[in-house]
Amino acid sequence: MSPRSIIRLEAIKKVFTTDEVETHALSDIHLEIAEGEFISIAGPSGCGKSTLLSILGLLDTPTEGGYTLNGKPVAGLSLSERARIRNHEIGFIFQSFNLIGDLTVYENVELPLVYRGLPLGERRTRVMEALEEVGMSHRAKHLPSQLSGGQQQRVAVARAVGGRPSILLADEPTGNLDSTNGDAVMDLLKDLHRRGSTICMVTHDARFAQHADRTVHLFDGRVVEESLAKA
Amino acid sequence: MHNLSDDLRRAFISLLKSPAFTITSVLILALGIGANAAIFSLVDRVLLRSLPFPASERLVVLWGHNTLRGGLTEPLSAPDFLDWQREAGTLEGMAAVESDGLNLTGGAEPESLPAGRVSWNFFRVIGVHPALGRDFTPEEDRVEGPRAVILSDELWKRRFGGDPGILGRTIPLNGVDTLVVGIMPPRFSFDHYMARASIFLPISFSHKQLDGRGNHFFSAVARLKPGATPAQCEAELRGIADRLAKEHPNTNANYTARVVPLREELVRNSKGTLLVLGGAVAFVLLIACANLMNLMLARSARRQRELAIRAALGASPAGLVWSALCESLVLGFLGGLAGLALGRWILAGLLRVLGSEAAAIGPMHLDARAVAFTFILSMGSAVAFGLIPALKAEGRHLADSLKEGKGSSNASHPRLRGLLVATETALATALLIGAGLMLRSLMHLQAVDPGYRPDHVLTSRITLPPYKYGDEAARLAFMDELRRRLEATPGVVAVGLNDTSPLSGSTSTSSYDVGDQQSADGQVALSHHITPGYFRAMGIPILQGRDLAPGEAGVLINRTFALRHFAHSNPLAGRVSLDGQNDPYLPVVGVVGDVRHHGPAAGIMAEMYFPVTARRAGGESLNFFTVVLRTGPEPRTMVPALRGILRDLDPDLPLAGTRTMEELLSRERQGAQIRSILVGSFAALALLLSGVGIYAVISFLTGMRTREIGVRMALGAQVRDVVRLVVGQGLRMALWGVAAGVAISLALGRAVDSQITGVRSWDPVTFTLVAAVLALVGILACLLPALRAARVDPLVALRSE
Ligand SMILES: Nc1ncnc2c1ncn2[C@@H]1O[C@H](COP(=O)(O)OP(=O)(O)OP(=O)(O)O)[C@@H](O)[C@H]1O
Ligand SMILES: [Mg+2]
Repeated sequence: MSPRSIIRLEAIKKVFTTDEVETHALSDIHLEIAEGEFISIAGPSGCGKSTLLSILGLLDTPTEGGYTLNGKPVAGLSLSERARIRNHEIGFIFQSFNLIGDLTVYENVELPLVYRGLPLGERRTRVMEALEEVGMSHRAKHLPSQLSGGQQQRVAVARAVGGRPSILLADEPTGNLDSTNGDAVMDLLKDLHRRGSTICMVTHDARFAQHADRTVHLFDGRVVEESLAKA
Repeated sequence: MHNLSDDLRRAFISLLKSPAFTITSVLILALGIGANAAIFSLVDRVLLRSLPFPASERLVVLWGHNTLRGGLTEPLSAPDFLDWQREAGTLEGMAAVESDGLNLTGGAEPESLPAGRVSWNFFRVIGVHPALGRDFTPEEDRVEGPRAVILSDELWKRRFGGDPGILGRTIPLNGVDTLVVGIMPPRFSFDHYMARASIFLPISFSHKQLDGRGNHFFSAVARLKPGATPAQCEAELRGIADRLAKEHPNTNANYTARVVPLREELVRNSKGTLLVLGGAVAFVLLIACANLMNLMLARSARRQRELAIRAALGASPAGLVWSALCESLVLGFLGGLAGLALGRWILAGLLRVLGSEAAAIGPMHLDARAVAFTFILSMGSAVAFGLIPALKAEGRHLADSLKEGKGSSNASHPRLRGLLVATETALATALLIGAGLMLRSLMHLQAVDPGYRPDHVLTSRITLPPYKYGDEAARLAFMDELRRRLEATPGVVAVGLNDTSPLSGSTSTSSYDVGDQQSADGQVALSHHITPGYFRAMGIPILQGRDLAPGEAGVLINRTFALRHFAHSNPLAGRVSLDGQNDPYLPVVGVVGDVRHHGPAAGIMAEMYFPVTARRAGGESLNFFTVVLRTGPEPRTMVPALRGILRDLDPDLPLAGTRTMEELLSRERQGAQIRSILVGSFAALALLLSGVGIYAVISFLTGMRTREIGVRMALGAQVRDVVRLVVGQGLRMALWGVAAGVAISLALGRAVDSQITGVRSWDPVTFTLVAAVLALVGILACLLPALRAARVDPLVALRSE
């Protein structure tokens, strides 16, 4: 039996039009991500990695092509439906952490659960679990500005996993970190993967890409190569 | 060394480069400044400027004061006046003043002239000499002395074409040829005591007046000796009054003196209103300044990078603050210019609203003092409120702002901005509560029952000159004939005469006697002399008994009088005499409803209605009265008929003060109306400014939070979550402000209390409504930024800073 498919992209195309200049950011992308898979997307700057991720994360819509998430096509959904799906199915990890400065670590992790409308008690359990998982529970009351970059990114990971999404989307999660902190965050992602999380990570660092089961190489908006890990 | 004009020019150019900021700032400043310039002109004119009399600080008004009757001041009697005049050592001079009205005959149409009766030395006491001719001689101030008159400049020009030859000629006043001895300077007035007087005559105390110590009928103006204080003078006069009280216990018991500086006396009515208005515009200015400061904060945040680079290139921190200061000065100057233009416009509006009250102040414009005030205020505000952002910018770690991505959140000063919004909202709340209270007070005055039916009632005053109607029989015959003819006039439903009808300006307060032991010692009631039909004409209900029959010697009392003396007996079995000794007791024939004689804001007093045939207090003859007509058609349409009948009866008699009762009532409410309109407009301005302020702050802060909002949306925030976030932030600030504004209003309750009637200064309805309005404005002001925030593209979350 083959694992359940979480994401299926068919012939995705993305064209940006600015001042009558058309940028073909993505062309004819076919991609399938199975449950429990850890896939990385690699390629030079400007090849379309972030664009692909934003489409996967329902932050943007493709110009053409089909996108099925958990077996359901997502084309033509309303803004609020898309927000709901982002909240339930997708966990984001950003290059620049994007923790909200006015909120404590605890409140940051809690935020997606608040938007989901979970009751207070359940939120508390989930937040503490997630913070435990990333080893930041002792900093729950701190503000992001009181943490190091590595710690901030761990909190961001906790925020992404706290809602138990179908897939984690990470755009250069180590991009703003020095190598020690970057390694620590990578170890965290690997750990999550080992315990069953589905992860799609953009990176142009080959060192990190090799941790994935599979690496998709983009060039100029096209998939030029898919490589499996040597494991 | 800096060259100031260079720096200012550079600041001006720098401002020109951001026209949106400059125009908005100048406009906001101008709104606050313009309102203040206009109110300053009024306050300056009425409260700050000295009176138009030489050494006016030494002028005082003398009053009597009955300690048994509470705090009311009372007019003086002639014998007391003369005793005080003779004995007071602290006074340089003392003059009696009384307002009167005379008929100028001899022309095509007889004219009823408002007049002032004064002691011969009055003009010397106040220090104003006639512009032409002379003032009165002591001989002219005696009953049997020669008749003399001084004309106002206005009457002289209107009636006599400004001909100086009128001096030394006589004019017929009430049928007596009177010698014109002087013409007053233009715009001379002593309106507080002799409203709109166009002629001045000697007061010439009659023998009766000189004998009647209990006959209080005039006011006195006096000039203190240099160095004497009003308090010293009052102490001295009280000594004299105490001695007189012992010598004449019948009339002078408990009667003492009170001395009030003239200026205080003159501004008493307007002072409270002007101070409240001054407070209101000060609030408006503070709100404008808070907005200004917020704009400057935004500007310095936007220019932070530029300033940091300049600092890095070697500009000194002091230099940067200085250039900000220069910009503030230029802004303040521009704001002052615009404020002046706006102020002229606001002042014109104010004067229109003030109407007749403003006419009493005289012509007004923004003079040099107001211009100076405007520029000092404007530039002072701009510098004070512009300097804080400049100092904030200077105090920040400039190095931070050069670092990528850092510093922008510091620069947005959310706390300081929150404080600004809360402050503006607090001030607007307090103003709006004040306006709300005044509006409620006005509504109360409109709703209050005056005790009569004011619709379809026409009133007019008629004065019977003694030279023609010296004989009581002649007066009564005239009144009877007038009443009979009016009754027969088509359109007239009912006719009544009253010597002291409500709002007519004349009142008579008398002691009385009800003929029993525990009688009315020290008690007073309003006394009227009426003809049958008066109650029907005025629409006053007869609660018990009946109206007077023609020629009947009876009395009607009002409900309050009945409750005071006949609570446990049948009032219709009672009797009332004006003083119990000289006057006969008249049987009570009816009880009528209470009337608010002095207007809707005034209290209800005990009242007695005697027939015109009865004696008046002090034995004075009844030679003036108000004709009251209840009409079928619009009351104004009956004026020609009334005039025609009067002309038939006596072509020399003019009608004076012809007014419908509704006009008189609405004039009574005018003060409350003016206060509501003025404070209301300033409150509306405050509301607008603070709404704009909330909008600007929330727009700015939301702009600074674009990325955060994008992240929240990426995490699944719905549109309503984002709207709630933004509106919540603004509303929180606004609600703090509302709470503070409520506290301010409660603290200022006493100041407002004097300006309102029928509503408490902590009226919960007003407070709740205003809080709701402010909350609503807060929400509306945040809605636009919130909807803009809801359109943020969550993709911003993915972009690295
Ligand atoms: N909103 C947009 N409007 C116009 N063009 C865009 C937009 N977003 C991306 N592009 C273009 O699409 C292409 C792909 O951009 P994308 O951000 O996906 O690249 P990337 O692979 O993530 O690069 P990097 O490694 O530098 O982050 C680029 O050529 C970019 O200029
Ligand atoms: Mg990218």
